[in-house]
Amino acid sequence: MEEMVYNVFHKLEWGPLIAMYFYFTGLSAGTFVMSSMATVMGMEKYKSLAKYAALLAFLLLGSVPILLILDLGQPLRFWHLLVPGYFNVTSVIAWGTVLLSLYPMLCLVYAFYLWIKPEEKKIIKTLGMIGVPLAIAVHGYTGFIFGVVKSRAFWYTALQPAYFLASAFVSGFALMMLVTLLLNRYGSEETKKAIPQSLVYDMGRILSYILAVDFFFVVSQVLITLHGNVESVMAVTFALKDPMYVWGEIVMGLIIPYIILALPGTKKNLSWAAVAAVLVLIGVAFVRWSIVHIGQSIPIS
Amino acid sequence: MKESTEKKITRRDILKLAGMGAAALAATKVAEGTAVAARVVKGKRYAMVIDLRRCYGCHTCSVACKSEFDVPLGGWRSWVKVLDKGKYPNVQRHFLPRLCNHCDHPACVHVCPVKATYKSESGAVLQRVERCIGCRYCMQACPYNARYLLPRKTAAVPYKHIIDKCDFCMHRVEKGLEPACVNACPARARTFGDLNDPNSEVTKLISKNATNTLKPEMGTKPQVYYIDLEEKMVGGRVRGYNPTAPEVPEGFTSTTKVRRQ
Repeated sequence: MEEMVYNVFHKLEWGPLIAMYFYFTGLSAGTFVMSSMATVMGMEKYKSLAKYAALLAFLLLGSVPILLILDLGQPLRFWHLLVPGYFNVTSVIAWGTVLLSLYPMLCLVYAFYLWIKPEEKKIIKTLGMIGVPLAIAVHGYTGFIFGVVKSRAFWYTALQPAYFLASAFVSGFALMMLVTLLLNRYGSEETKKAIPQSLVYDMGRILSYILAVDFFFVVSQVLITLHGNVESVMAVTFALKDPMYVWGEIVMGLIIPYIILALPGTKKNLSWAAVAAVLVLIGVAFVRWSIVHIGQSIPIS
Repeated sequence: MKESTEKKITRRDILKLAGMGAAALAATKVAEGTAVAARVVKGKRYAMVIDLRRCYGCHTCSVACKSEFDVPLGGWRSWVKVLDKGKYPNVQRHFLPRLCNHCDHPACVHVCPVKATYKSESGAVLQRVERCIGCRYCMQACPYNARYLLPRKTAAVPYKHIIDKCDFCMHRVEKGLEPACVNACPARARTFGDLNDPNSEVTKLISKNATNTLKPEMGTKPQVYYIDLEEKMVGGRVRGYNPTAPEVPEGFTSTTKVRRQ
């Protein structure tokens, strides 16, 4: 029988602001990749959606730096991150600052060309081709932020960047599904013709594939971490007892949308597609919050 | 007509003034930087040895450290972890004095985005308080929970909401004194010294006793060595024990209450 009589506090230092930041960068990366499906991968049917996706990608990312700066203990010192002499090559956050400076600029130029000069297909394609790896890096690096922290058992897994990207694409596509629905319902006549309802079902199909991959990552992580050392087992048991993780992230965010999008009865129904998209968006918010708070909740000393 | 003796202020004057102001500011920054560098004693490998056979959990070291640096409530630079083991009448109580381990491969230094924390040439891991932006990444990365966020300005650190931790009392060490916790311990459980010096107390203790460090599997190479370390004291909750047991008994203040002072 052991009992800890006296120990120092373990605080949750990273809170909702950080979780929101991951959510928005994920959404931005997901919508950018969706936009590049038309401009880079040549899927012509998404052509009209590409500019809305690009604009959303830029707007979502534009709100992100202020979240991070507000979260800092000394927000007015954020410019220290931009001083070359202070740059730490081994720090993932330092790399993230570089990416978060380059990606919004590219996003802006890309969105500008799509809205103002859509006939410049070659430039748009080049920008898209640079943008896709950059978007993946902008969200992948957040996975690395967690993945390299070996002291926190819930975070320290090689799956982290891949899992983050899967969640990002899932949320980005879900958002674009809702945007397509709205444009199709409330847009002008030519918008309605350019953006047919069938796009929602096509995106729903792709969404279901990525949801399956996402679910596979979750199951892999839970099962393999359960075979880990004491802290890993503690972390997973804590996670599995957390209703936000089990019901919010996994059941509501992954399993139910997948069932909706895969069942023949519901997959061609517009309202069900909207429901699935909304559930995914809420579920991914839970993903971001879960990883931030569960990782810190396991005391390490 | 009166001759105007007033000189008109030209653009050149304003630029000169601005330039002098900027130069003065830069000079103060440089002076601050060199002052910090001079505080570090070079060429040493400072380490600490804590003999757990001697520690009886009086917490004098924790209090000495708190008073030396005006450490605010809720934060700890050095503390003593206490564990009860067994069922009456076969009971034991273990004490583990803890502090920043000043690792040779510090996880905190690897992740700081602005290099505000650094491994100094004296072997101690130190903090550049004027550079820290308070992102708390080092707090996540440290496997020993040695760091805390300053909720207010202290007598030792003139900024708030940046990260603070034990610095091996560099302000005392460079004057030839021992760290406050080492000096205060009534049982002389803590010993501090230079591992590069073959005649120092720490070198002798390490070469003559079986020592352990905390969480060696992390690869951080901590420089605080423990003699007679009970394995169950290491790690969160109690290693090998029921993870759902409460970590801190009722009555201890919630962390959120003490955080923002």
